[in-house]
Amino acid sequence: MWVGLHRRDLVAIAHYTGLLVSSLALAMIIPLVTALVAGEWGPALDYVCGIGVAAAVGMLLALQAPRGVHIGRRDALIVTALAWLVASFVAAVPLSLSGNYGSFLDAFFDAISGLTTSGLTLVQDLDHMALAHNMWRHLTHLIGGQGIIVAALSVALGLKGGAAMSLYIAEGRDERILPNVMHTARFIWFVTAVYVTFGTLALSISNLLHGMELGRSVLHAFWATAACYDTGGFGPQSQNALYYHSPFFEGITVVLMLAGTLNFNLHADLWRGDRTEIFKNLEARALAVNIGILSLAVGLGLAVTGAFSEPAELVRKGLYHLISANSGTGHQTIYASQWIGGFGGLAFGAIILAMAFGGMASSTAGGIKALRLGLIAKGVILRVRQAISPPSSVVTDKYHHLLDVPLTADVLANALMVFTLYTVTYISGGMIGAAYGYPMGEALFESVSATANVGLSTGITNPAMPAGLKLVYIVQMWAGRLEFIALFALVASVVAGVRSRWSRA
Amino acid sequence: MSRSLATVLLVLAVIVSPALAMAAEPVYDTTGPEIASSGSGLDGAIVRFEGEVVSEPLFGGQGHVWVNVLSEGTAIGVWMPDEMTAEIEVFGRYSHTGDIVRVTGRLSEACDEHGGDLDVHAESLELIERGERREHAVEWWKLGVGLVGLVVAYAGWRRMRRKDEGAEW
Amino acid sequence: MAQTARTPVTGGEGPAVELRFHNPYRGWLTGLLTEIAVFLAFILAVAALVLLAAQVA
Repeated sequence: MWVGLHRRDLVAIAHYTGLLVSSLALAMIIPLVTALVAGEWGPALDYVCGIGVAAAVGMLLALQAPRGVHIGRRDALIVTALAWLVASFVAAVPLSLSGNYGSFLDAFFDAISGLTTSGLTLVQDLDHMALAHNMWRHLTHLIGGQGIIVAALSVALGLKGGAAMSLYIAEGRDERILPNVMHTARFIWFVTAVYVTFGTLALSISNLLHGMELGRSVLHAFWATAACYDTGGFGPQSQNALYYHSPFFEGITVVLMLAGTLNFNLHADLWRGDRTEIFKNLEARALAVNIGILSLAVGLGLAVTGAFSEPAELVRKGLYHLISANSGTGHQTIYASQWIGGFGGLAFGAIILAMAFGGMASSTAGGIKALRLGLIAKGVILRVRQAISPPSSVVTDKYHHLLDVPLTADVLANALMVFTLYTVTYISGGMIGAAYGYPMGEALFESVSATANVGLSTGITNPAMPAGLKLVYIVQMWAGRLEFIALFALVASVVAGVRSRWSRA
Repeated sequence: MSRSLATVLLVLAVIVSPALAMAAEPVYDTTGPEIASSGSGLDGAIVRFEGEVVSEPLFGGQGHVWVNVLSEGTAIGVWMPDEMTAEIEVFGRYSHTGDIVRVTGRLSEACDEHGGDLDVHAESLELIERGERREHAVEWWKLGVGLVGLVVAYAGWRRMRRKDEGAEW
Repeated sequence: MAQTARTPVTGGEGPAVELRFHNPYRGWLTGLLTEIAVFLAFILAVAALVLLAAQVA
């Protein structure tokens, strides 16, 4: 029996949503400074406007309840679901004023795509976009990638004790790397800072060597790092990663993609000096096996279609897109039409699976996640063993994820449930795309790309796309990032609220 | 007399034959979207298209550079010798519309020299129109909205502080 | 500086592991370089698999 929301729940929800949205106002200072330094006065005003709106909306919501107000688990889930929506709305404001979007809906699409680290885009005339706006688009990957909650925690916006913990768990983060929630959040930002510095440095050098002037080299390097480490997928030019025509760019960014898809617990372990965990860890193994099998499929598929005649080309294109897909990044060095035209067949299917399966939990990747796949695989094997053992024997198993943990029915049930939810969403989105008249293969590809927050596109996602389909992908990106549970909490509460109104009337 | 005639004919033949040779390989007029469409059937053919030069030239190795030409909304990477860029002055970005050029070159949907990238190896470049500065209107109302928002936020924050410090909700 | 037996973070039994740094902040550079090495090795392995499959076709 789902209980509806009382006023005290609503005000608490509003309060925490407001605090999170206010943090976006602070973040917008960066693109504002970028605009001022670059002499982009029009965009500077776009950000003044955006900061004002974000601050006002955030503060008005936060005013609804006192600081440190108690918030339970269920309400924390709702805050998470709502925060993504409200934050995307607020983040879309400066973009909608930029002139690079056909409508507010398009700007909202890009904002939620940025924050959920998807990377599908409806931007127009990207090659003439102001530096400030490109800065904001790529910043949304950083902010959303670390989780809006984590971002707010680090900035210490007055979330106290229990509230912080509830929101943190609601976000889908299951790690407790360091004893205190605030410390864990800060460590996540620390890893990010290290990788962003490394990536920006390495790519800046690469860009300079390719003839870019200093300012652009650094900006592009920072943006590409944010896009790859946060497995987002936006790029500052319309050709995305193909713009660079550079094996160095591809090599460095692939390393960043893998870093971004690595579970934060594993980062912590490796940095503590434990070199064995990454090899024993079920999730790391599952991901490695996953990519390994799919790489065979990609190699075979590409050889069959014959799109890339030289082995070196085949490997370079195949590998890059496989890792881009599996990590949920979404950068591509081919044009949208080349998915069917160049990849085609088996390789195309393998990429869809790579996107669908996804990266590791507790990282910025999307999809079903490697840990669940590993658990399901183990679960299947366990069931088979149980079935063929004598009835009186007890067959159990355990798995290694940081520690040895028993493989219980509960754990398996959770994994299977999420697997099912994703799969149903993938297929439904594909069917809806087909209903709009797009070929099934491409519709399925795009649906998976949206739900798993990847960002690779066959070209269906473009400003001329039907508004209904834009909304469908928005919902898919949102649902996928929340891993459904928080979304269901929100929907169930709303439905229960409406129902109780009805029965009273 | 026959010697002068022969000379004239010879000279004519020399002038005409390259034209005949070039005419043997057809040039297809196309656009950016068609080039990138994978269904154009133009892979390996000589194409000609017009567009705006954008962003910047990147080193392409072997005395060549990459120049991106934005044609009807799709940017195509064109690999051309350094010298060919002499005619290009303005590259398109936020502040400027770039030079409009006509490029003729061979299209490769998976270029063997460039890791399988889709590109055009330019054989000639012609400047059609010089680029110019873009005007962007500064819309002051946005400043107004922003300031109002900040005032509202500040007032709200003050109220929150006061309520924290004593009053009940 | 070696520490033995780290505190298990999610409950259950933890194996005793020799750790070089108790604090993950201190080991950041070694950690970063180790990770990059692991990723590069992985990328090469994947490239080899793609190539292998392509040859078979």
